[in-house]
Amino acid sequence: MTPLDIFLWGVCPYIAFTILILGTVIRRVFFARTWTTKSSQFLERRQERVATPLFHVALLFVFFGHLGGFLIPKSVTDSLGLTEEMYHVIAFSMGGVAGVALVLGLAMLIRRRFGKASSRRLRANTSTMDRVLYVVLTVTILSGFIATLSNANGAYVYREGIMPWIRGVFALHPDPTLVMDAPLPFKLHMCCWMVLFSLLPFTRVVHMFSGVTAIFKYPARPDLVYRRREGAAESIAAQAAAAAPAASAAFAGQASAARPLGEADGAGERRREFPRGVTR
Amino acid sequence: MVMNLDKCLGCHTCSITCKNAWTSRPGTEYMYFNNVETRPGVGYPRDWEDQDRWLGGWELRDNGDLRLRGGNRAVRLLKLFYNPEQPEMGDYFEPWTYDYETLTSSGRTEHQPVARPRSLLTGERVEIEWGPNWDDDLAGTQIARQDPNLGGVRPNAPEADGLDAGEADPDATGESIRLDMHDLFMKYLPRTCNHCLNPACVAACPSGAIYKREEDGVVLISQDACRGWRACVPACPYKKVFFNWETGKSEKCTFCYPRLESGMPSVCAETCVGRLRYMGVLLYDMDKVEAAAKTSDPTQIWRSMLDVIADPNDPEVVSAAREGGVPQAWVDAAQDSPVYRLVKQWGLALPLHAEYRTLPMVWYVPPMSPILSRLEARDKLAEADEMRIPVDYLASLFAAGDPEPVRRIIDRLVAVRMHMRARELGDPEPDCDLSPETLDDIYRLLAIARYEERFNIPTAPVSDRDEALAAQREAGFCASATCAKGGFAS
Repeated sequence: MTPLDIFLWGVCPYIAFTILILGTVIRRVFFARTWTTKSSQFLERRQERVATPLFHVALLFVFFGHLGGFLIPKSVTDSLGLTEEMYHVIAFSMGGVAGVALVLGLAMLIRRRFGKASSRRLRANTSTMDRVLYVVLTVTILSGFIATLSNANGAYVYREGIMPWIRGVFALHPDPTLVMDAPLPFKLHMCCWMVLFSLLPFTRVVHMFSGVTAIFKYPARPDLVYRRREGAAESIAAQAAAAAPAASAAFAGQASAARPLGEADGAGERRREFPRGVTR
Repeated sequence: MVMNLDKCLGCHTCSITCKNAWTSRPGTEYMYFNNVETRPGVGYPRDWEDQDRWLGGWELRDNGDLRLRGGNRAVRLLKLFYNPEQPEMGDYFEPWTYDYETLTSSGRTEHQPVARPRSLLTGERVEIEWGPNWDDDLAGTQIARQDPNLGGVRPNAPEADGLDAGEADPDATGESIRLDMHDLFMKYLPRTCNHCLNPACVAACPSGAIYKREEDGVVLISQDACRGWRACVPACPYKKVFFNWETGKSEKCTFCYPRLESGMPSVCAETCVGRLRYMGVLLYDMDKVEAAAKTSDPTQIWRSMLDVIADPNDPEVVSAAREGGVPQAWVDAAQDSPVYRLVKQWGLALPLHAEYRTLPMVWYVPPMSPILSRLEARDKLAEADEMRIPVDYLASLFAAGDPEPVRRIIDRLVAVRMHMRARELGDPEPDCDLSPETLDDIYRLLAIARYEERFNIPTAPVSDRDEALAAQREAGFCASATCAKGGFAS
């Protein structure tokens, strides 16, 4: 075990996660105004129609495939009677299909943004960070894809190397010896995700967190969102002498058009009987 | 806000002052929070009224539920990856400037130097194929014919051509309205965000970034909370939410809220050369909004909207408003509101495309127009059906196709003129359901009203001077480093 192994497989994961978490929090709290998908559909619609959904859906499959691999230890599948060969065939075939879709989606996105057929409008809107991101994403995805293909025969049992290692990283017990002998494509892929994670807070990729929160928050929310002007609520409450309960929060009153009032958080008690809104 | 279309001269001053105030930053060049389109025409963006394509607004389901036309929440969340209904820059126009410098820096040449157009997006030379108001003043009747409101419109007074009404409308297509010279018509339609009571953009936003302000009803997008999912853009049936391609966030008309809070009208209203915009307070009952949006007959939605608007002189309304935290100054303003008079008291205004069920809060006084030239000149003023702009056409814009309310308003406007004529010339008073005193008041407000009569805007309640000053610093444009390029403060 060389010092480089210790650094790469014992220290770097923590650097990457620290940058990911701290960077994301800092950006979310202090730079929320820059937090966006940076969607380019407005500039180019035709090629995006296939490329973007393909890329994103394949990416979700690949992500959950990785997650399942990490979380389900070999002992569990062994106890279910799944042999190493069967597991490998299942993982290789499913992962292979998702991988092909992902590489294809990525290729279409690259073609859309940088290829000959790319829209001139889109090219004008490609930032330096976009270019860096495309390079890192491409290397990450290709290295993972090549690692999978090169290991078609299952010679390298990553479930006894990489998977325990990553669980060890999360358990704060990283063991570099588990991965220091992995084939090169696997090692490259692992370096890549660490680079990607470190880069992530500073790119448009942060929109994935918003996608997750939207899935949980949006369906639970009333259709219409009402807000009071910040700071105005107290003065109104004071003027209206013991009328509405003190409302100092920005999200003071919520009401809904498509579902009955009072379901929103705190809206029930703030519900007033008659003219409440004023418009001009 | 109420706009009296009779007085719009199509000068675009509102659009330009709005643009200078709000959308002169990178990424917003193509946006016109306020625009004036010539009707008949396709508008801005092109074909914005074609809701079969954009799936904007709400629909009333067979089971009585109100739902966004874009689908249920699961379907719309799937559209986060790619939204098939989202317009593209080409649907608006690609902004451009001209190489003005060549005019002065060009050396001695045989021909005069020319300032050629250059895209503001890419910086490359472009051929201009479409722009804002490409069809201004009916430029190209072929474009005007694509106006969806022409479908089924019958020309006014067809009997003058020896046709009866039935004959004039064989297939109910845009062809049946004639854009021939002798019954050609044209009018201007200034459009801004309607600050709807039931805004579809608010409901469509997966991030909850768009909200309606409780105190004054202004619909705003928090630039901090917007994540650029762009669901609001197709959801707004008026296409008045725009996607800033530079910041990756949506922006829309703010109703000039920093001005409103200081008791001033929006820039578009302030600078209107024709003085056709009116702004004032309307009190409304939030609990009636849902029922109004669910009115089953689309032609009756505007009537339900009148029910939502409360009578500010009703003591019960006043006490409820006070209990609800509406400041006294606002109640006072509501009792002296030009908007309330025009919309509810005199019944002179209609909302634009109420059938989209967003309950838009910009109301329009439909325009009168010259008498058709092929009708014989008479001593008497024309009635609605003898005017150049077909009542059916106005009905398609303002009353979901029901000509009756349009006809009634135009006849009232005619009655105002006849009343003034009676006053000046001693002619008999018009036969009208409004009293001569009311007709006097209408004349005053519509024709010669001063600034204070057209705008009655109370200042926003602030607790102290420090807070007001803080708001003054924070509201509006963004100068801090936390803003994306081209961004603005929410």
